[in-house]
Amino acid sequence: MQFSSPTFLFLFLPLALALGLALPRALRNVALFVASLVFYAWGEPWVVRVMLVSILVNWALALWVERDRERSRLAIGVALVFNLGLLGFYKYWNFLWDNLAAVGVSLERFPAEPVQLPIGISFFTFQALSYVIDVRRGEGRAQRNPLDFGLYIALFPQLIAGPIVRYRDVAAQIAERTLSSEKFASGVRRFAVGLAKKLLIANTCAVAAKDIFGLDPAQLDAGTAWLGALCYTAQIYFDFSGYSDMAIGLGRMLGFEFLENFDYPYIARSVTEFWRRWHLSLSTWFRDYLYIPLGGNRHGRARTYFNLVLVFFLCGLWHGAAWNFVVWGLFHGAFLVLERMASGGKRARSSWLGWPYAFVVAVVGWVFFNAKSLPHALEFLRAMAGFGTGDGVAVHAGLYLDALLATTLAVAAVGSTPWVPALARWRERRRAAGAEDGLERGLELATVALPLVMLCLSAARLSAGTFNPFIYFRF
Amino acid sequence: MNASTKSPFRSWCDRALALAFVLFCAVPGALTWLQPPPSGSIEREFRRPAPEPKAPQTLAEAEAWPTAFDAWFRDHFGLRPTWIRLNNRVSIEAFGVSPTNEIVLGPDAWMFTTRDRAVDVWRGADPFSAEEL
Repeated sequence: MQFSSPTFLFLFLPLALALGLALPRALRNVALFVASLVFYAWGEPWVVRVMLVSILVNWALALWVERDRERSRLAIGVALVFNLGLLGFYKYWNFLWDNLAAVGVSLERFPAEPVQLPIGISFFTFQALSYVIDVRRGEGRAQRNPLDFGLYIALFPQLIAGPIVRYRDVAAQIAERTLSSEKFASGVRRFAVGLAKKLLIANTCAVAAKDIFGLDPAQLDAGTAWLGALCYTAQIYFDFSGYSDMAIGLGRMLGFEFLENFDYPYIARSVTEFWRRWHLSLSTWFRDYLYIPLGGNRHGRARTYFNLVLVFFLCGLWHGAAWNFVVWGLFHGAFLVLERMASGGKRARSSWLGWPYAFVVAVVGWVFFNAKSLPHALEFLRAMAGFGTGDGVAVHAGLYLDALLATTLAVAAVGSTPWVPALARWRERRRAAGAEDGLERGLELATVALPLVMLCLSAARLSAGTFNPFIYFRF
Repeated sequence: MNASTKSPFRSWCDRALALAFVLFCAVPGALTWLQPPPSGSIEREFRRPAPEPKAPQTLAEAEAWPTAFDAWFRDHFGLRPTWIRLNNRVSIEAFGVSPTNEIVLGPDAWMFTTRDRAVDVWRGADPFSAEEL
């Protein structure tokens, strides 16, 4: 089930909130766990079996790790084989098979039919693996209650598209969490922002991005190609960060506090900084469970560069079983290495002059990410560089750039900068100074009115049934 | 005044927003059964509404039921016509663009269809091939 669907918004959500808030405390976790299973099974009921197996196996493995410290290394090995095997089979089997067949290696296919991808498997597998590893590292206690552990994995706000939540960050909240109208309202504000980001900005940009990336690249001139790339750049950020906002908001309404997943990545002044602002739960996962165990930057420059490239190769592959994702990951990894080399092996520090460079790298990277194939991406980039074969008459940017898209891109540009946190800090300073004037009341009323306007416009767009793809759903 | 101390006005605003959100989510769902959209409202969209799914009798039907329910609910949830009207008004009056990709708005309240690549034909961007001529 998607957050941006009428069934979720007008049926599932009110029922889940009633269960999660009105039931006696002892029943809340069970009710939320069952609701999360319904949420996950909706549309593809078979996938819930995969997740239940993952929950039971990882719950048992963590108990084994904790009770038998001497053989915990073996248990971690089993956890790695199980979780990566599960991910490998469901996500990469078809990819492996197709590539082996392409180079002439023909094997007896098992299973005979292509494997279907359970939605969100990349997220809950990484979450479960981090939990078992953290228990072995002594960074958290194993959960005795399988239902509570099931709730940690399956909790519907973050189940299918993250953020990838660490067990230690929510363990106390699973046991006991506080509910208040202040926290609920804060969750509503965040959810409204996320829904509007997804339905009003990302979906509007998605129409133009899909149309332009769907054109024959021979028709593209530079303006159209840049418009397509910028629309996709806005789409993927507002789509994914919108989903994270909704997840954080829903969590807050139910009493959970998830860590932030984005920190205005498009204001980054280097690619290194971009990755400290984009999909934070994934980048910190790779840092803590792969980059640092590989040695991080502690074994000389060459090894550091190798580690970075390997991490970004796998990061690309995590996003999808296709070569364009691998190229996208390696593209970013290469820039991280170049930035390290330019700064003498240390983390790069950039001035504001680095912003155009980092932004263009991100935009070019998204072309690899969204293109149908590597040749398609290269032809698209050639058009962006001004060497396209389009005449700018049959196809030109003006065909797509109507008042709605222009306004949406302008709002996206403003929304990509951290003016809201700056405004919130300014209000906090005013309040600390004792301001309780008309302006303060007006601003407070705005924090009620604006989310409601966003919700109404989002519901209107949702009801019109316009273009509604969700990119991170497939990961 | 301490910044962390919450004024009564702020508390009132939080409660008002929480209540409004619960109503926003719950009312359309409740109206789906209490006050269904008037008959013919979907036929005006020149299509047949998705049928109400029957209670599943087999495991296969049970697995297919959520998808069928989604389709039915998308066509029948409460306030749907109101939300669609709001979307259309915002598209047309605020941005001057058609809310559907099957129509292009022109000057003087003219509307043009986009079916059969009509816009490309009008722009001369879809000429006949030598064989067609």
